[in-house]
Order: sequence, then C-alpha cells, then structure tokens
Amino acid sequence: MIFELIKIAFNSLKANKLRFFLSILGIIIGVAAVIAVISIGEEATYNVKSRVSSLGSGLIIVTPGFRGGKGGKVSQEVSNVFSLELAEEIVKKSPDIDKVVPSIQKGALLKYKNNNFQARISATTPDYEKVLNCPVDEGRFLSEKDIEEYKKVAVLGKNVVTELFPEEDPLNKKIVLQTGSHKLVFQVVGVLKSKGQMMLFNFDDQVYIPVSTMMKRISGEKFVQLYLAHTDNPDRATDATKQIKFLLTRKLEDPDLFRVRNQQEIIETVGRVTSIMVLMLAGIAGISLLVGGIGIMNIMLVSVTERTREIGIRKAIGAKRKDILIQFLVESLIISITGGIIGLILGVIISALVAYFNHWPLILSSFSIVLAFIFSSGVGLIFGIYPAMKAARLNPVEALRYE
Amino acid sequence: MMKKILFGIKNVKKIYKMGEVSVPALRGISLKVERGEFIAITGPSGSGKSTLMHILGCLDKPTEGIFYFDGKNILEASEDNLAEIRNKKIGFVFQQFNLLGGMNALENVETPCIYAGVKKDKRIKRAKELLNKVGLEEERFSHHPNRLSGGQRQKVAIARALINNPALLLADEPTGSLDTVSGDEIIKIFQNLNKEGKTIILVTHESYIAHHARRIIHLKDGLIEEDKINNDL
Ligand SMILES: Nc1ncnc2c1ncn2[C@@H]1O[C@H](COP(=O)(O)OP(=O)(O)O)[C@@H](O)[C@H]1O
Ligand SMILES: [Mg+2]
Repeated sequence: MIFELIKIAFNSLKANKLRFFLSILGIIIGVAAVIAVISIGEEATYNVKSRVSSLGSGLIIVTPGFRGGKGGKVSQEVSNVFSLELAEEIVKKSPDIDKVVPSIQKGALLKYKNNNFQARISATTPDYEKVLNCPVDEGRFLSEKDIEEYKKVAVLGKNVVTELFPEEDPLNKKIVLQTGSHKLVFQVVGVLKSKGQMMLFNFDDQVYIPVSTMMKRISGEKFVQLYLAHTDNPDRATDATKQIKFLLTRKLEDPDLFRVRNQQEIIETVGRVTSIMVLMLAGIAGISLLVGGIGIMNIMLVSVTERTREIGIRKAIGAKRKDILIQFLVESLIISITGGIIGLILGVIISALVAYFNHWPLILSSFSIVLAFIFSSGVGLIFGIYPAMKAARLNPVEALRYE
Repeated sequence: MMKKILFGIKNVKKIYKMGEVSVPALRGISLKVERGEFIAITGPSGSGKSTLMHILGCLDKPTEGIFYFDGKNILEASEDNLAEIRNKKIGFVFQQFNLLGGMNALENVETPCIYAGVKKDKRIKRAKELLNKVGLEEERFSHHPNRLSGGQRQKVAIARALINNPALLLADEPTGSLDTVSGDEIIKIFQNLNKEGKTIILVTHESYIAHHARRIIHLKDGLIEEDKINNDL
C-alpha cells in the first residue's frame, strides 16, 4: 500500500510541474551551498596543510614574541634576541634538535641589465635547503665557505629568474641588489626548484644570500629575525619544541620574548581557523536550506487547501488519517529529496570547478554528502508534517462541501 | 444465517454549531433497515436528508442518539474505525459524482481497493467487471472524468461505490445533476443491484424516482414525517 501512496504523491506532483520546480529550488540552492562551502573549505585547508607539510615534517619555527601593549602602548614585536650564537647553543643543548637556521627577511630591488624585480631577501645558512626542503634546480645552494667569507653570492627563486633572466642562463651572472641605501653586486650561484606560495610567503620570489653577508654588509645588526629549527625525528617534534622553549626561557628569562611553534601546531592552527570559517559559512548556507524548507511548507499548505475536496473524497471512500498523512508527507519528501539530489550534484560541480581553477585536489567528504541528504530529507519531513497533519485531520463532510 | 437487520438508529440528533447559533439538522430520527431493502428518502430542501445520509454513511457522527451498524456502536467508534467501515461496508454515490480528477475511470474505481489493501491485478479485474456491469463502454475506461458525460461519471461513481462489495449503498440525489435519460439509466442500475440483494438508500426529491423504491421515508424539518411501504410497485 505504501507503494500506492507514493505513486499517488508522484502523480499529484506531476500535475503541477511549475510549482514542483519552484518548491525544489530553495532546497537545491541550500544543499548546493552547504556541499560547496564544506568541500571548498576542505580543499583550501588541505591545500594550506599540504604546503606546510611540504616544508618537511621536522620544522620548528622560533619567532619573536610580543611585548604587551600596557598603558596605551601598542604591542610590539620583540627584537634583539636571536643571535647566531644562540642558534648554535640551541643545536648543542637540545638533544632532539639537529639544525637551527637563522633567517633575516628584507625587501630588495634586483637589477640585471635592463630588468628589475622587487624581490625578498632571505638571508640564511646552508642548512636552509634541508630544513625547508627546497632543493636546488641548477648550480648550488649557499655553502659554509660563503658564510665564513661573507661572500656576495645569491641563490634565486624561480620567479626571480623569469623576471631578471628571461632569455639567459642566470648562473655566474652578476646582479645588483639594492636595499635601503645599500647597493651591492652579487653573483648568482644557484637556482631553486619552484615551490610556490605558502600563506604570505612565496618561495619563488626570494633571493637567498649568506646571513653573515647580510649582517655585516647590509643590516649591520647582531641579531636575526627568526630561527627555523629542525628535528631529525618528526615523532619527537613536541619534545624538541619543549626543549627549545625550556632553553630560551632559561637564557632570556622572559617567555614573552619568543614564540616556538612546530609544524604540527601550525597545521592545527590553520585547520582550526579554516574549520571555524567553514562552519560559519556552512551555517549561513544551512539557513538557506531552512528557508527552502519553509518554502516547502508554504507550498504544501497551499496544496492541502486546494485539494481539500480531493481529501474529502479519499476519506469518504475509506482513506484513513495515516493514508492521507503519508500521501502528503511523501509529496514533501519527494520535493526535498529531489531538491537535495540536484543540489548535491550542483554543489559537487561548483566545488569541482573551484578546485579545478585553483589547481587544488577535489575533496568531497562523504560526511557533507550524507549531511546534505539527511538535512534535506529532514527538512522535507519537518516542514511537511504540519501540512500533512492538517490534511489528515480534515473532517470528511466539511472537506466534501469545500468548493 | 445472516441477521436480517443491517442497522438501526434510535433518536438520532445532529446539531450543527455555527459560533453561537446551533442549527438542528436532525431532531430525533429512528429507523431500522433490513438487508435487501430499497429505500427512498424524500423531503424538501433543508429537511436534513443529506445530513442523515452522511450519518448513515459514517462520514459524520450524530450529536446524540444510538447508531449500531453491523453490530458496531458508531458513536464510540474511532475515526479509523469509521474509515474502515466506509471503505468496506458502505458505498457512497454523490450528486456531484466526486470522482478524482487526476486519474482515469478505471483508477477511480480501483482507489477504495488501494485503501483496503487489495492486490493490483485483483482490483483491476474487479474494477473492469464493475464498469462493464454499470454499462460504461470499454474504450472509456482510460478516460479522465472531465472527458466523460454526467451519466458516465455517475456510472464510474457507482462502480467505485461497489468495488469492495459493501453491505449498504447510499446515494444522495444521484440523478440530481443528470438529464432524465441518463437519470433513468442510473435508477435502472440501482434497481438491478437491489434485485441482486444489495441494500440501497437513495435521496431524491423527485417523486417518480422515489416510486421505484419499495419503502419511502419522508423527512421534514429534521424529523421523519412519514415512513411507508410503496404499494404502487
Ligand atoms: N455543515 C453544516 N453546518 C451548518 N449547518 C448545516 C451543515 N450542513 C447542513 N446544515 C444545515 O442543516 C440543515 C439540513 O441540511 P441538509 O441535510 O443538507 O438538508 P437537505 O439535504 O435535505 O437539503 C439545513 O438547514 C442546513 O443549512
Ligand atoms: Mg441535500
């Protein structure tokens, strides 16, 4: 019998196709939005996480802390803390840390012949290549000798090469590096493989020079901006992080002067931030699903009123309350599930397009698909039950008198 | 052997409440109906004929009184009990046909069987038999009601009323919307059904139709004014 009632519901929906289309529209939009938002959010998160992971799994980042902005003062990044000696001390005293790479970042204008490029200087040491997992494509990376002798040598990111050397081999060419009042000539010794953007940092826009050269010839300071520490054994990243914190706290006597985060923590932070955003957006999309549900209820109420006489006839020939209830409930379920399926397809197409144009992998979580399905049929059930109950409760004689 | 009495009502009243005003449509009706009877109910407009038919058809409950149908106390029956009685024991034919517009003649006839849970091939077979019996041409079985004449629609409605082989056939002015030729055809069908043993009660205000019945009950102002055997037959 349930099969017959479903057939009846299908037939009455077929009788009014435009109305059917209008009533599924709200659900389509709601479900498509939920699916797309969740999936795009996961794609974006995955993208960021995989880039963070591509730095190598044992990375620990030590940055300056912030001094609290008490008494009307804005909080400020602490400087004059990270010396080269301190970096060496960390390697020596922390059992799980095998490398610490100092880094100074600075903007610079590069010139070669008539070509200019606004690049970022990353002044660092030879270990950078291993710690940040950015292999050389041509030539070599910075060497110990470069550091010891304050050599004016540079290793270029891929974008720098395309801008400065569109038609030439950059190796052993001399480029002019201009930053502030300094204007120095550097020799190109290597080019890195392309690595791309990671959050605000684009590896391919960097020009890498020896940290000693930077400190002696350009900045004139004794301190670097940050340390990139590395542990051999990624399983011990948490311990390694603790060791650095312990050491720095003891040395600097103020835990606010520095921040230590390992890669796992960064990934988790990124994940937390994006999932909060995704949840918010999905919530908004969910509201449109709710609006779609109200649309279904509206249409079903109109339908019940219009078909009062039909309900009267059905009751007169023996339909029980539950028969009428099921008939109308099935109608709203068909509306919402059809809308849900179309919305699902639309949502998948949208997220596939977004993934395609961003060169992300397409991630469809079965969770969001199941969620959308349960949600849309739930919406049909919840917003269909009131009109269906109204239909089922009609008094047969009064329903038959309805014109 | 089956009991002779199909149902009895005693001192049945129906009072419609419309806000503060109460309209007494039936003011104390008592009636016994035996199996196989053919009864015509007459009376002026507003005398309560339709109200009585609705009560006898278990579409509505009396406000007070006693009503036993087939041994069951109707005043205490639940909505679903009444629906089941309407479905299995009573066939209702209306003046306005009351067919379902979204389906064809055959499907209309089948519908009560769906609610009774009868299997598809069985109900189609029975629906076809009944449509043949009431004399609807086979090529019209697949027509929707809006493509049928009044007489044809009423035939479909009678077939639908008969599909679950009810004990009682009720007809409220079944010829009221028909021309005399098709009206006579419909009355003929009722007569034949009664000859086969079906209990029939029909409402009419046309005396020549009433005179086809063996018993004529005249209503006035919600009361039975006259309940007589038709000796003219
Ligand atoms: N649903 C109703 N609500 C209020 N009054 C009604 C209702 N149905 C019938 N009546 C009133 O009850 C009386 C009997 O009506 P009805 O049984 O339809 O008479 P008949 O069929 O003999 O013309 C009339 O006065 C009518 O107005
Ligand atoms: Mg009437």
